[in-house]
Amino acid sequence: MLKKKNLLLTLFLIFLVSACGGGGDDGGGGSTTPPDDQAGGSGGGSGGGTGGGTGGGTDTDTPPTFISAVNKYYLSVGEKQQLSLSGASAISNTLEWSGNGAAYLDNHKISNPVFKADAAGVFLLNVEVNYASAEGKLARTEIVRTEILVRESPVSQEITDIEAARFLQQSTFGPNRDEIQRVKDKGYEAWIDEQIAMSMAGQTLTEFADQGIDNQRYKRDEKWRWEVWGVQSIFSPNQLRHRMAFALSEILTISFVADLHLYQNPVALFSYYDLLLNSSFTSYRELLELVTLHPVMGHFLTYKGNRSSQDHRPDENYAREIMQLFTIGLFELNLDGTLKLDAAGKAIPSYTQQKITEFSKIFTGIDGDSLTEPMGFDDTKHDQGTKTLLRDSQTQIDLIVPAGQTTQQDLAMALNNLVNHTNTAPFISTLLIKRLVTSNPSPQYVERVSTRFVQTNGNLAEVAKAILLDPEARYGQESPSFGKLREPLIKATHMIRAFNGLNNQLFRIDEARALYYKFGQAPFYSPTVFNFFMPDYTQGGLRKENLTGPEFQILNTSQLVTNENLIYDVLANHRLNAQKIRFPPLNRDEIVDIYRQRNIEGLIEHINIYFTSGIMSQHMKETILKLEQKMKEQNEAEWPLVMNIMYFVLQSPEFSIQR
Amino acid sequence: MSKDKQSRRSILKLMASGASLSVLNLANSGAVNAALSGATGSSGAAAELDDYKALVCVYLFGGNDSSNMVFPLGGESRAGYNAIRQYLAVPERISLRDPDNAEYFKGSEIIDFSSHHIEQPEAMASYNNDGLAFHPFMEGINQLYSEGAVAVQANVGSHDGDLFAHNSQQEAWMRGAPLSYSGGYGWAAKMLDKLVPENAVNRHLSNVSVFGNHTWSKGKTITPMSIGDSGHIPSLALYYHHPNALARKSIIEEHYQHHANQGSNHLVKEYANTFINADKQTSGLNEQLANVGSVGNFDGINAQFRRVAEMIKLQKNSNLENKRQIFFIGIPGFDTHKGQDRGVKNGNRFNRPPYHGLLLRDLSNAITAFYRSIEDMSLKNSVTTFTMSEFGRTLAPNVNGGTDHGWGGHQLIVGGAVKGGFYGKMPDFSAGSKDLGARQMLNPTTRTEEMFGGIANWFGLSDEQSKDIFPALNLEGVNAKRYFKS
Repeated sequence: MLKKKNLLLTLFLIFLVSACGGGGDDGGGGSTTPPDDQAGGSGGGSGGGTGGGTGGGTDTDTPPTFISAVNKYYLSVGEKQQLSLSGASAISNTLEWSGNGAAYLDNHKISNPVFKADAAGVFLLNVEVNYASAEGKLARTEIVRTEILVRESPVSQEITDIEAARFLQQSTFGPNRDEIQRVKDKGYEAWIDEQIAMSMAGQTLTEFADQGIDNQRYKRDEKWRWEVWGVQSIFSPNQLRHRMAFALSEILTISFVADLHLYQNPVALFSYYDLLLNSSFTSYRELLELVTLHPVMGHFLTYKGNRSSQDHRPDENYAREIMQLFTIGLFELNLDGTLKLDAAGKAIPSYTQQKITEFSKIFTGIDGDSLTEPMGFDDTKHDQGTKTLLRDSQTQIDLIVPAGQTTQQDLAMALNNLVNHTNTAPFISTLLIKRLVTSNPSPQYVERVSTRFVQTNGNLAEVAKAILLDPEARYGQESPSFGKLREPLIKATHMIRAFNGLNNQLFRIDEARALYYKFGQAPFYSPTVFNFFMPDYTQGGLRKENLTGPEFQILNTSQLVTNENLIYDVLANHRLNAQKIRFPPLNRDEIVDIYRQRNIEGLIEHINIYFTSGIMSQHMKETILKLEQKMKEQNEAEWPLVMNIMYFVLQSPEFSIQR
Repeated sequence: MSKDKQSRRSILKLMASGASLSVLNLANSGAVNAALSGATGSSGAAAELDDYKALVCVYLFGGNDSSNMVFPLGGESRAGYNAIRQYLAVPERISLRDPDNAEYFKGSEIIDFSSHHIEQPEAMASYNNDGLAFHPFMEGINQLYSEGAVAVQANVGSHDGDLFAHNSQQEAWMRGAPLSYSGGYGWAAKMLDKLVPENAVNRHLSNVSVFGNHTWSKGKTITPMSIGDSGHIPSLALYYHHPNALARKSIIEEHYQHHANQGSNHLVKEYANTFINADKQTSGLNEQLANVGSVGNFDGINAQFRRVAEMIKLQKNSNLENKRQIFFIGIPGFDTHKGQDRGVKNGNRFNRPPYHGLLLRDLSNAITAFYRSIEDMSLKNSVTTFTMSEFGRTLAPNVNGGTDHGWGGHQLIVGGAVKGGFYGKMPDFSAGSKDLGARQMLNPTTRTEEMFGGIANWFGLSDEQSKDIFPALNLEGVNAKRYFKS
């Protein structure tokens, strides 16, 4: 028994069949670690998150973990996979296999079980490790789980229409025919590279509003400029950039809801949105500086004109929110986004009120007259004392900003201090994953993206790539916790794009709040800096499963009904002319032609590419067939028939959850 | 119904029927309290309720600077208040003129201590001499106070100031528990979980928010209905546009039920459930609301209050079959970091009103209009309105003429059943006072649970049930039904 009481359990994955295509070169992160028979010290294979290296061999060591590229195993039907499981000469171990399909363990040997997948599904592998005490008695039991996801068809090198559409719902405002073809032609990564390299010259919202065909209209009333946001988000070829900017507008949030000054200045708000567009692929550090110096942020979080004074404390507003919402968050995080815990098992606050007070001194002496040009520095109004900031990531001691520096020098040190903090990579990575791909990323997914964040000094182009090419983004859709509720605005843009909407000139938004009244969402129209929804919002059944569903926060009773009725109006009436919003007409002819030529099966196939991206359930197919049958009995004409099917699709649970 | 419960109710009836002043004195006597707590001790699971009660939460988002909502008028208290608040201190006598220069409100009135209940007379002794006033713009609240319908809970705050972040402090208030207890449900919805049986009539109308989705309304078994504050409440176009569509309804419903019951993806399942609930809650509601009739004058009042009044009237019109309701109203804008005193003062007069003062004015007008509306429905003893706000604010102004996130603050509890007066301890503003924390914020002297426990007791919870909902509630030495006449 003394030999090895506790061998670190290393699950080593060997693909018997060739590795994943598409984003599959990611395997290097975890599976390069060989099976390790030595106690302690080997847990770092997946990039440090599993916290190996505590040494010794006692019962209290690192609990066993699965170490693989994704902590989820992806197979296709017909594949066979071997898990090499070494270590654990504990009293006994068991492997338990559960799932709802025909996959099974081919052998039950603890050291190298092999499992086979004969049908698609989600399976759970439980490993129970019974640890022995020094006397050889049972001391404790650890249970480790991993998910195994079996896909319908083997991964081929060729990207299918469905796969391309799935990718585009995460990376654009919705798939359309041309973009699907482009992704298939180029592959995911090259498509992203192309998007990153695409020029923004003449493409900012401001330029488009001032120089575009409608510019005279916007001179008449600046509030009408908001339709440029809609037109560009839907029709611009710079789709990835626009989707990123929208995501960033929900992280580096400003709001003009309760601010008459900003409400009357759509030009200023456009300037801020353009900043996000132009900086969607720069480093997060650079973006944060531009944001901090933007007068709209300075005005919104009230540090514009903040100054040092004998009599009064500086305004703490920005100091607080830049930490809580823009960089490090409330609690210390591991690289994989999970909470660090103290000895008592409690979360560790990542800063104190004292730090807020110190940072509030940094944000003094920043001011300007314009609402579109970056604010400047006025050192005479800047706090000249020393400031003690957060623990420095290099020295591990609190960073002291020396007295007597310029505002600019102080600001640079403070922003470095924040962005380099160990929390920022997992904090921002998690938020971006939640905005683009899934509300409940696995810690391993977060860790891979955070790692990329750290490696590239927070280069957002690389972070976006890591998010979208990750195996979990590409193949995670069968997991019961995968996906996100589509934001109301993105549901609408998806509809327009997927119908291959024709004429952007007919898109009209007379003012942003008209969008808000209909969708419960509009750019820069969240109630506060906390955005429309909190990233950890949960409710009902999700809470019971310990899952989050941020977007559910704005899916309240009335809003759900309003959103669904809006979709009905757009479908039934071609366009929506109420409440100062007018949609471009949808392309009815195309979809009716599909039904006419390829029958209901052809229509279902089309829907399962453009709208449900391959996740249409058998039950949904049957429901569509029943609806068609019923409508034929009711002698509905072709268009009402197709329209009603599309209406069902657009408000179905399958489409409402992006997977 | 148990004998205990009957006897308790007869005591309560007796008390309610008596002359108010003597009854109040009686209610404070130890004998009656002991009798009452003995009577409530035995109540277990959801008992049958035969009286209607509604609880209305008015949430002040951002952290209300309540030290200007109720403030000292004279003496040493005033001197200390002036010294800390500096130019943010509400002047003793101010007046506001409307554009026509007609004076429509003048001066703060000294709150009359003598005729209302003071929970801690010793701690409040100095204020008895120095005087307290509501903000002069809170004319309505001042009037309701004089009618005995307003309880002020002084300096109440969450257990753990944490980092004084908006979201975590909001959560703490809405959960009624320190965040470390987690769970994530709201205390009011948890009360409904316990009080309203699964098969109760109109259960789906018992939990209404007119300000979006918030934790306070989230229960284990009860789903909040969240509706708009004005206009018609739409029901699903899918089902009402055409008889043919209606004939297909069951096909589509079956699809939702399928996902709600056996959906394999949790988010898909949640969406299906949300959809089914929304359909159930909204279908026909618009027509019902259109027929409730007048609910009184809400001109110029935040529309949420009228909508809640309508929902209550709807219950009344259906014979109050649904015995318990909770409502959530939210008022944003209290995060006054900058220029909260942006009013222009001319001597003792404001030519332009201060921003925070206007927030208080609107709050006061809204609560008052709502109270009158409920009074006209003859339900004033059945409906209690109260405020919550995540924290008070720092007392000293920051350099931008605003205030930052503090901790303790004062809250209002308003209703016909309320025993008007002052609860807890108003802060001592003198230098070095223990009530003043770092950055000159108020260290709370009452915990949120004590306030919520008092409300929960009125709503019908036994002590054990309250302990279950508010794990940190300490009932020792606390009069659980403190705010209420019976």
